[in-house]
Amino acid sequence: MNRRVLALIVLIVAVALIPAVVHSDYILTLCVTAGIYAIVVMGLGILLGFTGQMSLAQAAFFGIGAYTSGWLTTHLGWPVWPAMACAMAMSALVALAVGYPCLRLSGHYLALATIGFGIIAQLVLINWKDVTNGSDGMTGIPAPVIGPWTFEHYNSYFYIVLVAVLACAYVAWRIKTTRVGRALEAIRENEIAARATGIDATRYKIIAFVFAGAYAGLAGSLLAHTTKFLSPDSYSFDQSVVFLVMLIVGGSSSIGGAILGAVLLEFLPEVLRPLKSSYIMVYGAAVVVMIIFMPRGLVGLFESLRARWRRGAPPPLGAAAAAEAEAA
Amino acid sequence: MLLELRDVVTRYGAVEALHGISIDVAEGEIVSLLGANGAGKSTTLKTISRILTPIAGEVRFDGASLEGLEPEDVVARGIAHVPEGRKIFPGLSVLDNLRLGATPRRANRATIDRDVDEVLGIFPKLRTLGGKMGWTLSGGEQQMLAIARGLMAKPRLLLLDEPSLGLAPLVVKDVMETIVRIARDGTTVLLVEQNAHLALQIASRAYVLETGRVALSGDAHQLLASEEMRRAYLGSAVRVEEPTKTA
Repeated sequence: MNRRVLALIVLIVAVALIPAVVHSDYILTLCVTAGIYAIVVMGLGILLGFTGQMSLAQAAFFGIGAYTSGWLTTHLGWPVWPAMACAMAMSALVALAVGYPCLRLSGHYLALATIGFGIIAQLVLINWKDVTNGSDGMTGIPAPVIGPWTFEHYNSYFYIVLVAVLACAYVAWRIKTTRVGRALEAIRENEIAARATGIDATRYKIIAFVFAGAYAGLAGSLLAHTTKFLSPDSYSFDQSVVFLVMLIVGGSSSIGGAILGAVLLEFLPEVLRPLKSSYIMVYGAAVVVMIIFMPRGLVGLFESLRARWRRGAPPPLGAAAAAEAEAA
Repeated sequence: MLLELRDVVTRYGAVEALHGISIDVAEGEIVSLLGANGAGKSTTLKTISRILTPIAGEVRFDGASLEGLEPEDVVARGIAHVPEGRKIFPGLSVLDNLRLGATPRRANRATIDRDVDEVLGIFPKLRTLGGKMGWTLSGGEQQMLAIARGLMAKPRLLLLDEPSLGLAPLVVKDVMETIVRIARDGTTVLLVEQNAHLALQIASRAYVLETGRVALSGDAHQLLASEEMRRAYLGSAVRVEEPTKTA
């Protein structure tokens, strides 16, 4: 077994032991939330990191998943698992409908279009009271059940989230290492060259957008069945920006980076809480410093350090940019 | 004719870059498009591969119009475009760059691996670089990779845009010899070059573009010998070649 696989197994076992050694509900809540956010951020990683397409609507797909799952279980009395699958499918479907026209745009225009969609989605959650219960929020969402076990508490729900994170990471890894991943990366590196190579860029960008939506939908459903209460405030543009920052801080084209960024930025405010009201200032400054000094995120920093450790040349900060500069 | 352009007009926004050009390329030929910067050579290739859409005229490949096709459909029809500036994918390995070239064929992994091996037979230097990232390659290696990636689509027509640009003279010679070998193996080549002298040595016919129009055309050897061509284009090309002699 190679060392990387072994290290990964040790890491997974260590994470799986957290509920056995940590008894604070508060910390377990943060772990569960960080895991859920990691799924949303991994989805964004497929779109932005692998494919180079910017979206600021990830919170909207997160909300669509949460409310679909919440509505199916509370209004129609569905069991949690099929509701979760439907939530994922619904977010993916909406992503398909939004992505089809939007992904003919690129760069700033695409970012603006996704901001517009995010704002519309939040307004729908607030105003479609028959379904969402508006600003009062949706309550009474059940916990998932497997046979005699109900995953009511954070120490058991932790494992559902862990399995979901691992499954999503595996799917993202499969995407990255196969034909689809190569096509997505080619689009990120140079869309015109990709098209001249025969890659149907629009189709692949839509595939990436749908994956990003499906990941966010699954995460939204996971959140709904753990908090058991949904409020439209949680699915704002601000939250989309937080997901984007998590991805950039972690390392946008790396699956591990997406998870690391989500965990770090979920725990950072808690670490800074003793600073009281000035914490948000320090939090903001810390994020800015990380982005300036680690343009390829934490994972990029680790790779550079490892390369230096081996006395090889550090990898470039932006391989594509360097090659473009050389070609120009 | 394998490729026919009839009175093609292409615009960049409000600026008309091609004012009705007509070009023919027969199967098995190397045809060169020559001309100064801004003459419309690259625009012609981009129009053929549908990266740009012509506003008038017609492009036919193997008797069928390319009207309404997307660039990826054109590749699937059998036209591979190797764009100017060695547009490889720098963040992907040499092998992944090559595998991507096979995308339009939807072949299985084994077939693609066999084709990669076959293409690497034409570019032996690339064989030793398989796992290296695109950005680590030298200019000449990147150009070879770009052409090799184009061949992975198994095209009938290869559009090459300035393959000698920015390369050392010895590397240019290597690239030109490879183009001749590709044509000898049965792939038709439409070659855009600023270095007219070099291009005319390997092409069977050539078109000279001037500000979006075909100014001269004919047999490559006759053009090479023609006084008009020598005065307008080959003079500068010979000067470009001078460093070769002193190097």
